[in-house]
Amino acid sequence: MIIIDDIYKRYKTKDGPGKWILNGISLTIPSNHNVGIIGKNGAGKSTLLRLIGGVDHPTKGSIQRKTRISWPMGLGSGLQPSLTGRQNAKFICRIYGHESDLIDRIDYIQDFAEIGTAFDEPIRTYSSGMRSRLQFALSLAVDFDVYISDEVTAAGDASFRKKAADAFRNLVGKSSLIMAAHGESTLKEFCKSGIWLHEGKAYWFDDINDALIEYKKSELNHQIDKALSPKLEHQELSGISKEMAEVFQKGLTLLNKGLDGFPERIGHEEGSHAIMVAKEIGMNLANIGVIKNLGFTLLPNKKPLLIKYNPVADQYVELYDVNSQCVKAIVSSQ
Amino acid sequence: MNNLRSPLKITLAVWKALFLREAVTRLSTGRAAWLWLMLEPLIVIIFHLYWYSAMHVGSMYGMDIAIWFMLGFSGYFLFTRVGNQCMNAVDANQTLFSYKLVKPVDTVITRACLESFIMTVTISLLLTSLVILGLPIKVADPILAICAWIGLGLLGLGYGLIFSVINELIPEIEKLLKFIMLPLYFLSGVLIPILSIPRPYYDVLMWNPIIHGVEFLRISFSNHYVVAPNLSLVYLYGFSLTSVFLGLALHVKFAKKLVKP
Repeated sequence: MIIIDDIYKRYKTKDGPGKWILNGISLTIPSNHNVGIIGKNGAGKSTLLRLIGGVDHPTKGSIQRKTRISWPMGLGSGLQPSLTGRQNAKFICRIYGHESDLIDRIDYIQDFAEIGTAFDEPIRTYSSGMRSRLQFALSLAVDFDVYISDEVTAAGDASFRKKAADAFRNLVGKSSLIMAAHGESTLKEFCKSGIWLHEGKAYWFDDINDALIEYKKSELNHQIDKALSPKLEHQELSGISKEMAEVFQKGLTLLNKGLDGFPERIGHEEGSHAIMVAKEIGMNLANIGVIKNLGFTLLPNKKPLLIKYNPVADQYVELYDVNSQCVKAIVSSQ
Repeated sequence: MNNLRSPLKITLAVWKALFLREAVTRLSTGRAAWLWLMLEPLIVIIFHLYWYSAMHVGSMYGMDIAIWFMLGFSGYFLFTRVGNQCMNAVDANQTLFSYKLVKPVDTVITRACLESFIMTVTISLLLTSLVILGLPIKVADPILAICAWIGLGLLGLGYGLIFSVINELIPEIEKLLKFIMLPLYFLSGVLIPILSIPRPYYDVLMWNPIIHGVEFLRISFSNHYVVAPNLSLVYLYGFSLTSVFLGLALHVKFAKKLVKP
């Protein structure tokens, strides 16, 4: 069990202390429980993993871990560049007390990392792929109760990624996993629960799917706010996936061509869902005539939509499908 | 969860691993690195020996000049090498702190052990070679010799512990330190015999603990060597142990600041 008690973290910058990356986080991670950490870039996923792994210390607060926890496995550091892979491997096995079966473990590392004769070359001659493969093999060779993985499954080529995933599957029952990954499927496969990091706070979800939905909702909200801000216009699409952006753009182009005959013209486009729903809840399509910008994003699965209009902001309408999967229409009136 | 190792066991495992790792890097980086480690003090000694014998100085206060130099330089090198290696230990091993079992203080202590070990081997080889060359070397007081040797090593460890922390916190200090340590060579009784220093300056110089260590090392090797007044093993050990404890305290206090993110 890992008990995180009200931790705060900020890094020193050139101009004094930086902003709080983690701003008061309390969590209890049960033993034998795989947890995924979700959050956008810079939300503090790696920072939190480093703190849990004991590589770094919180600015305030404490973390109790009465269990053997790995260092963040995807971490590029921890290897001495002037020493060979074998020497580094020996060192790590030794500090973790695997002196008696050192040779077996070194063989395992050499076999798993698949770096061939380079194992006896200095680390500085390694490519970044070789480095991360070795790093991954090293962490697997040591016995831990909890393995921390920071985007590790993204390292290496397809076959190595498969091997890594298999290794993770083998850990089930013996050890647990705390991981951060961008790949949704990876998280869903390995993790039972989720932690969503957002603006310095952490939110625990017993089910990883809930965490993912909450995360995506917030992400889209953010994107929409950005798209609606007068400075950025609607072209600002960073962060939205390519397919989504294409749908979005298509809809906008159609709209710009004029609203006459609009529903018919996009009748076969994905955006028609938004219009249909708008109709259903009684939004007069005539009103859309005065709307200058109508953008929308749709997930590939075309499920029924539920509409949520925000009368206070009177700026945009949020659309969710019945599973609260994030599907959005942006309606800004000017 | 019940197979957690005890803290002592972990620390010993870490020290052993660090020691072996440091030994490999120290003795294998560059061509014949181990040879240079030995040759460096030898070359310095031979250089000064040549210079002094040109001035027809054959003995120093009842001790053969070659032995006098060798002991002086070995003692001084023990301090500076341990000190300098320890001082840079934290900086050089930053990559290792991603394994949370490795604490900055571990790297300093293992470097001190390795460096004292190397210097002990070096002085033994130098002594043996002098014996082979036919110089009359006899250890008059082995226990005193070991005490003086360990005292100088501890002094280096204390210095290294303290400045490994201070240099990380205030990097400018390191540059300043180089200037301060430069005249120490001449103020430690290595080149200039302490007995030749007139009274008021003598008392000031005796504050330098290295002199005590170096002189006791020489005394232990001869029955005839003139013992300088006010020499004190208690002072040497008081100074070195205080600095070791101060250094350890600094490491405890600033443990978190020594690990760079």
